[in-house]
Amino acid sequence: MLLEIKNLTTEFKVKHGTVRAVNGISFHVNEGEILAIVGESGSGKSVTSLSIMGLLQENGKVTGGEILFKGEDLLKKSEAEMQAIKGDQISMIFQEPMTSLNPVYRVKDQIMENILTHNKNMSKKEALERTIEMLRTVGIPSPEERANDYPHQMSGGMRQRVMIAMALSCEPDLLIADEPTTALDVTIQAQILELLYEMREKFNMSVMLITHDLGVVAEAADRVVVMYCGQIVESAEVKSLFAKPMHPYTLGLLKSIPRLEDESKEPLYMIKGMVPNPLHMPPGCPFSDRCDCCMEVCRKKMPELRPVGDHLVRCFLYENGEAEK
Amino acid sequence: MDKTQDTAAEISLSTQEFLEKPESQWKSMWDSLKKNKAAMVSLAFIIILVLIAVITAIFPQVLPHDPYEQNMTKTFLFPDGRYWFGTDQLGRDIFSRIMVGTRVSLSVGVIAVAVSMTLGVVFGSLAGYLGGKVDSFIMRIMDIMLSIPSILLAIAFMAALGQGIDKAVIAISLVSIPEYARIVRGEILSVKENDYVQAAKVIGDKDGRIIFRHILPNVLSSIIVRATLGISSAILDASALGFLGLGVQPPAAEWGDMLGRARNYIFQAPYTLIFPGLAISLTVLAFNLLGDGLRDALDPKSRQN
Amino acid sequence: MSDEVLLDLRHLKKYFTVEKSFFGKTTSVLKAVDDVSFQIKKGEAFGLVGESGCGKSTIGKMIVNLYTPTAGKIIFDGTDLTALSKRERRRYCKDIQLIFQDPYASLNPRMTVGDIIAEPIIINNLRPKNEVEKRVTELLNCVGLSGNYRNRYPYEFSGGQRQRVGIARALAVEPKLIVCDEPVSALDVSIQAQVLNLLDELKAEFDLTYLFIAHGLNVVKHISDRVGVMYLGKMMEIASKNELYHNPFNPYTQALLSAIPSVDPTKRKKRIVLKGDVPSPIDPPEGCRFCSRCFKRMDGCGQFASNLMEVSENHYVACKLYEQQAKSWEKERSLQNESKES
Repeated sequence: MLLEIKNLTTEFKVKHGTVRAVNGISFHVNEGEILAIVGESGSGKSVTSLSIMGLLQENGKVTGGEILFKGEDLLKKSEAEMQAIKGDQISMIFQEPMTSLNPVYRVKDQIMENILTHNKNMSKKEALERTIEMLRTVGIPSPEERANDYPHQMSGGMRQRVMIAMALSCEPDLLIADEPTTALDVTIQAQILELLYEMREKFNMSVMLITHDLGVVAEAADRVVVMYCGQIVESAEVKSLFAKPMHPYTLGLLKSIPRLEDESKEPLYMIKGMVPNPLHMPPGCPFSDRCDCCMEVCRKKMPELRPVGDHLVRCFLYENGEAEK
Repeated sequence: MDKTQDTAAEISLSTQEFLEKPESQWKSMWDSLKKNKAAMVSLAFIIILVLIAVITAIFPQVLPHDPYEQNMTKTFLFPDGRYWFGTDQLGRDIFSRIMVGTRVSLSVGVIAVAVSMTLGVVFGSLAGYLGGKVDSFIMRIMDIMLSIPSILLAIAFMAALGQGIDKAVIAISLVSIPEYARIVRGEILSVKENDYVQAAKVIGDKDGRIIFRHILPNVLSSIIVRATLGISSAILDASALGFLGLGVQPPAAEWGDMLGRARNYIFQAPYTLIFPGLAISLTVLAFNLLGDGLRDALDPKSRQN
Repeated sequence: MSDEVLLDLRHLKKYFTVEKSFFGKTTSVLKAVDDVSFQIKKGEAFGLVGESGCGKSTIGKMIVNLYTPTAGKIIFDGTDLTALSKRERRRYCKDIQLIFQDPYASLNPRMTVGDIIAEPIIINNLRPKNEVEKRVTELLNCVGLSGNYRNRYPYEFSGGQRQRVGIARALAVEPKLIVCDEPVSALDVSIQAQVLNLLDELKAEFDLTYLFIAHGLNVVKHISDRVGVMYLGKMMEIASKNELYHNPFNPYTQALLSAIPSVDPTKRKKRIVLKGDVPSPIDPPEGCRFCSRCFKRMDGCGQFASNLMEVSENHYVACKLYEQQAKSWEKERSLQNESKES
């Protein structure tokens, strides 16, 4: 296990109270695997990655749990120690490449900065060579010239590649990719996902892929974790999750996506209602008021995350370790 | 119709609990402002000034002495129990004159800002919304006005208009228009491209209505902030003009004018200088702090849900 | 769906000036929409699909009069909208409406939801003053929101609810045609289904015609009857949705279909991965716009672009590969017509 999250809880102070964006989640990422974290707004998936990287906003704080990277708890590390790890052993790429790259610096400067920060003994010349090599690896044509460009001179797809080059420049063990293709066109998305595969092969890197797009998950991931309202509701290998989704939320999500192959003119399946207000969470299971299979107990008690077959599911339908319905 | 109602009812089921009592944005602004002590103290001070101005206008007998009564036997009296701020070179009670001067300064500030704000908003809206040649034309004029120091420009206007406090107000108003025009134009340019403004066009709104209904309300907050700060500059400008002898005419009591005349007596009777000076500084400070507080309170980033 | 044509776009162009020389002469042009023609029949849902820079949103905006076409005609129900004066065109706001993509930006944050929906009714004098409130409640109910929400402000609603308000606003004028500009792209997946179903129901109930603009082919396919695929300002293919899915002719359409991730991990297909990036629509090259990335490129593609040709029943393609096929289809067509007449 490269990364192990144990009971992570993150809270935000807002005007009307405290919001628990992440509520005691536990999962792990193995070496060389692509783990997808799937969820919609309010699920806490992005906050999870920000908590790992120590990038929470001012009013956010990790209030519980452990983040074990290579056995060591990142939460206990000092600022300086985290600086050394970030960019070097754990890297992150974001959704919107334009705002993640500094518009007033050339692309090569930004990548070189990352390399030189973590490799104090390297010369500028070597860093530049490494930079151009990285740009070539991520598929940027004529990298020697493009390295001198500014971010605004590049297209969205190219910028995302630059972000990836920057993130991989120190050959990290773990790459956290937060919705890396959401802002991109579908044909570019295809290229970027291919690229992530190649990089995983080449560097034996682990990837934590955060997304709301189940299609991307099906294409790219090895294992999946489904989050809802700050908790993990289901977790399984990707083939198993799609073949036999167990949690009503996962089921609902899969059923409600319009499929290309679908020929019928039937209305789409809808999950009724909406994500509850985090300040007014219902007692018991947070999905209870939207669930087709809601039972009495669901409204009163919170189900535990239990193994059911080869999945982990948090639902009273499976209390005995197998499906009750 | 039934099927739609069914779906609709199903969907709205869970949404009932979500919404609480609506909170008006003005209330949330007031809440934020309340936390700013400096701003609240300033607001209290300004309210006191307004009360003084109003009361001395309606009930001049409240004042301990007649602000215009000269008494050559009582010139340059040091502040004491009878004359709280002392007397000036003509034996007039400085305290009473400062109280009366409040009315002049505040009204100059408010009227000048009201006029320049209104005209500035009009010009800035036209320039920002219509763009093109109209924009270039209006903004070039504004730029020319802004390139001349405001006091010099005001003096130039007064040279054309003549002396007197009313002319001073006009001059100060004219001089401040470009600031508002610039701010409004900038805000309009940024708001203009928003989807809800486009939506207004799509539903058939006419340009004028779009500006009033959709653009200006969203621009209001920066104008209010600027206006509050503008009152303090207007008061300063009025004082400066008064100091130069271009504002009020004797025997009217106005802080700047009092300051100007006290120039010669600075060593002999410093209190003739100190109190008018303090009055101006504190009032300007109060408006500035309030303006800053308003800007922070109205900042959408701090208010956003 | 009738055969009557409601919207007829003819050779529509929209060029933006990017750079001017010192003397004002245009030196660089962004050709957002470059000679696009198609028709939408009454009661139909026409899907318009394409990636960034293809011009689909620009077409939508020209139809609702947010942009003025550089050239071409927009014929709505027989009237040429491009030939009307500003005032005359404003009268058609009652018939053509737009639903925006971003539910957070499309509602004026300082107006209550009730006012937002009432505004089009008031401006277009559609109801007497005392009936406006009733109508607003009616519209809110239509889109699944309670009438009590009338006095709330947009910031109190979720994205999906705001989008419903936007839909209610569009419905308020009782339009014939609604241009839906990526109405679900900014919404969560579980809410997308709700809004798509709502749009479907409203179409049936109010006999609406849709121009549905999106970049997701799967979303478009669900709600549309026919689909048009655009690339860099040009229309590449038009066909009924099933026909497009089963028989995509244009290589770009094939690549687009292939790029969409399938929600089935057992089907990790061998994709057509296009090389290179989407070129800039500024000063585009001569010839076929897709030429630089096309995996079926031939000689001549870079010099001459094909126009949209019919290659089989109601299936139009703009691609050199099918010029022969188009000719034979034309022959077959005319033979059919002859035999019908005789």
